[in-house]
Amino acid sequence: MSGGRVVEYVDVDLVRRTKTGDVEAFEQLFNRYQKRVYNIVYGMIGNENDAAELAQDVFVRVFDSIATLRAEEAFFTWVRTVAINVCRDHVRRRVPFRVESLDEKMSYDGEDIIREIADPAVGPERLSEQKETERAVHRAIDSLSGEHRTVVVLHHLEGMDVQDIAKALGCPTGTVKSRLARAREELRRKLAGYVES
Amino acid sequence: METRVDCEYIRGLLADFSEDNLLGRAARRARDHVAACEACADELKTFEATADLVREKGLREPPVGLWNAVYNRITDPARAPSVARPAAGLRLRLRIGAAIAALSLVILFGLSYVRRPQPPSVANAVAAEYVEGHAVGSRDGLFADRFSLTSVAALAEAEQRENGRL
Amino acid sequence: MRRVSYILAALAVAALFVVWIQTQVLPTLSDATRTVVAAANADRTQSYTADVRTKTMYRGKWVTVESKVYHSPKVERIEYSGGHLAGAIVVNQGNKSYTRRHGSSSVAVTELATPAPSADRIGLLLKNYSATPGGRARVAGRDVNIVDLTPRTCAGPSKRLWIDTQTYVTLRTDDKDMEGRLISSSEFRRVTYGSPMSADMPRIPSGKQIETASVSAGRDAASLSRRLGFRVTLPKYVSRGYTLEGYRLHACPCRCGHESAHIVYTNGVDTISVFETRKLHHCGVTKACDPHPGAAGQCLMNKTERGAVAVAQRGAKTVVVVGSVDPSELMRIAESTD
Repeated sequence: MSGGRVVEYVDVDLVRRTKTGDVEAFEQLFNRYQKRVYNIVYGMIGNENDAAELAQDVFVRVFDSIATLRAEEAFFTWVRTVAINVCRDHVRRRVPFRVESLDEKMSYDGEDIIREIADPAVGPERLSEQKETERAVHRAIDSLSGEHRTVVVLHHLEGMDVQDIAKALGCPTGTVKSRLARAREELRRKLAGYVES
Repeated sequence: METRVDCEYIRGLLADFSEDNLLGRAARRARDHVAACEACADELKTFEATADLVREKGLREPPVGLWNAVYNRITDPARAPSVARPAAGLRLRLRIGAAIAALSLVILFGLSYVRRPQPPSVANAVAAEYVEGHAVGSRDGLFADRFSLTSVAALAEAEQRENGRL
Repeated sequence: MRRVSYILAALAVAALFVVWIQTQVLPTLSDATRTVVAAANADRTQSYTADVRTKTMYRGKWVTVESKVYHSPKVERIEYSGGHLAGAIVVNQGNKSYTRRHGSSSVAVTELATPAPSADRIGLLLKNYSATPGGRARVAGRDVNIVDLTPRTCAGPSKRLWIDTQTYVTLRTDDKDMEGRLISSSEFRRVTYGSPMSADMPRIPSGKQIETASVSAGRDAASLSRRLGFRVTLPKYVSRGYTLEGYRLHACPCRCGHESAHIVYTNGVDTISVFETRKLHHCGVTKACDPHPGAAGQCLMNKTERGAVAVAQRGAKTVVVVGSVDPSELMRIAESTD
């Protein structure tokens, strides 16, 4: 799934055609990557309306600046960077509100450990329907804080490694790992009814 | 011999352990405990299973119509594509130049408007009346987009009025 | 006893007919075509409440309106809440449509040419358009089949429909012009089926009713000629695939009293309108003074996204043709009218 796995040779041809203004070629690139881009944006923003608008912004920015892309075989890696930057710009522009960080370390038995998080979720009923499971997973991801949701989407859905996420978000790898751990802990609680031990 | 206290302590670290976020003594202690304690090993598996579930079911479908929106924006002739930004000094000069050009255009346009008032756009106004009739008359067609056609009818009617004021 | 035998025989023939249709006719239709046929009739059987967002290209700009729809098989009420139509109410009941704008004291009434999709129209659609599947998607939380309707023979407007897999209600419609550019899109953002309509919901908006367009069995070339005082004639040429659907009397919505004959042609999906008027009219609201589009015989064009408009002086009358086909076709139609 990540850009590092399989080089999308087809992309190179489509990217070159898009550079000449071929909108149909760009539509094919869009069709290949719209789901991934939308999920990155949704993960970082957390609401459908803004995500749809920002996903548009990402593709428009990609179309406008594709001439500057040198490493054509790394098209999606570049698109992903554009998506992350568009979202970070958006978040910066938003009216700031205080979110209590869940990444603070606490001390226990002389060693640094991570602080405990109260779980407000009620355990879900075990439902066999695939759709219901999907909805439960979406709800659980939605319930995460913005910082946690972002790393979950980039790491678990987008397949980015911790170093790349840290680089993209401009924070230490330890912070990314810590957020992933807290997020996974929270997801595990909320999805306990859907996870087979 | 693993104790209940050990299990409670280690379980508090499993999330970090699963993300390779423990260092030194804590990491060693967690690794050794999980290797020896079946219950805690099972507990660790639930973290991995959670990640698998998220990977399997976490993706969402993008909204329908995303391409149309992108397409309309990238093909909009009124839109100037974003290009590499020039240096600050050049930007300032460009802004001043653009302001002078815009001011000149406004003055020229204003002068031409005062000297030679444009006649009403008869063709547009006439067209608008019949486009309105056509839109209203097409609303009951098979698969006709009655919402859009009502919108067109109202826009055409407004255009008639607007042209009449010129 | 004999009567019973006749009835039984008639029932048997009817049953055989149904079996024949199901085994011989329907299997020859593709799934996409069958979906389209079912969708054409869906609004006659389904009740729903929906929030709809519509984007329309007009004179080069996208215009968005929001609306809430209360639909039942017999009556439909559309309340516009956003954009330039905010506050407007449209009620479609029987063969009439009533529209009242926000702040207006009057109600525009139009009579529908075909209140229900006729078999002829569906036949025309299938003859002139090919239905091809475009995949599955979700709209308003519902599973839909996407179907593309593209003209079979010549260039013309096309549609993409998102049709509910369960109810066959069309939940989204994209219209494209003959060059494939999107010109409008209406999408149900939320839909609830079977939702009861309150008793006052379908009420026709109050206000003085002004008939702006009407059609009825009595409207034909002869009766329109008598009413308008000139001979209403059909064009000698119409674009391929289009057939005469009917005549309307078009009255200017500004209440200036000006009337035109409105002759409607359809190819099952798209329409071409031919207006005939004593002289080129420019209604009182616009206060324009030049009634003539140009020298006699000169055909003028005006293009909008919803179609081009060709205007030609033909003797004592002006012919205005509006449609989404090639503008040269519209000119040809206008100039073929005596």
